[in-house]
Amino acid sequence: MAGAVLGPAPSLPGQARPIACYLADLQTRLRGDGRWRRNVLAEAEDGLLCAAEAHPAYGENPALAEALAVAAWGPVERIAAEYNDGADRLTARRLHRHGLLLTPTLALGWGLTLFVGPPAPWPHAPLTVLVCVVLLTGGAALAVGGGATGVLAGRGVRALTRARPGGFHSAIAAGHGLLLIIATTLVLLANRGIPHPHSLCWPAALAPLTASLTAILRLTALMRGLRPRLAGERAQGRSRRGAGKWPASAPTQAQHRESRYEACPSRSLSRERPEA
Amino acid sequence: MKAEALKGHLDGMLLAVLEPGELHGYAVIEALKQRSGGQIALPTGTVYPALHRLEAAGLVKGAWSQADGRRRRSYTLTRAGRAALTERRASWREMAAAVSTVMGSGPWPAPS
Repeated sequence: MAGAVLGPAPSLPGQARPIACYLADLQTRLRGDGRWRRNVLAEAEDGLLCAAEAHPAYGENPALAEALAVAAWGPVERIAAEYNDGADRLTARRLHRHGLLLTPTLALGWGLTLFVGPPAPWPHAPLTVLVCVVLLTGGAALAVGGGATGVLAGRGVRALTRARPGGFHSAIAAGHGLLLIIATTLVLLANRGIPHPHSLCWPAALAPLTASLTAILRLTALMRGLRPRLAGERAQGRSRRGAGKWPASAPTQAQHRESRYEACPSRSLSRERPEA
Repeated sequence: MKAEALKGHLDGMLLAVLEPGELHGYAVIEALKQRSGGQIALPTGTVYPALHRLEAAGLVKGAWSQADGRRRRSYTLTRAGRAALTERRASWREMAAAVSTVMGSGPWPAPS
């Protein structure tokens, strides 16, 4: 029931609820995690209701006021794209932070595991270990470099530049760097732990191992979230026609009649309480 | 004023509107209209993602509150936001002066 979505808005039995319809449409177009989407919808709902309530027609014809508010709000495709841009930036920011914070955390965890455990089972490090050390160094450089680049570029006035594909690429670099580090440490663990199980302090390895496996799930989910963005940027780069898009001016009151939400039936918008 | 003409300036205008103090999203839209004498007519929905962008950049800080039985997000300028506003203002004045001179209307702002 739309009333559940719109909270205190007056009930309109038998009438369309354009704001509820608009929000339902917006909900289907939003990317990002569930909490972020719920917050976006709660804020959009409040803004749309404020706009409807501010209209002189609201007292006599709330549905008309809602339709006008929706028409002035802008095309749902454009608004969803703007929100999704924000979601992508948030995802990139998280990857940058993971790159900066997880790399030293994992290094410390695995370092402590080796420190408290028995000595190495071989007199000289085998070739596999040497190769893994090189890979670990490369992964750390990618993760920390990508993370630092993104964090520095993602703050302040510079972050306001609309076209900033470097931010997303550095986030992906940080993610790949971290995945390389984790994969390499797992190879190292297997290389030492399987043939020489007594050469490791397994209780100490449990914490970094759990953190590594959790990080894999988290990182792959975040990187998957950026895939549509990167694909879009590649397509934009090929066509060179993406620039210059900007929302058209707000529609006039007469244009509200063309709004597809004016006559839409009341629809429910499944939603939990927004989170702070 | 056409929205296309405002491209690239919305972030700066939002920072300026938030300079006096905390405002929620719709109040920001109203303040934009009021300050511009109704000249700025953006699709109102575009203001919210722009506020999110500013928040992600650390230039504004958002906080949820309860109003009229609804959850409402209000925004305030951060210290970085004030610095960014000063920078934006300076660059805008430079650009406006240069364009006005080239367009033949004399230096801007006009001497009193």
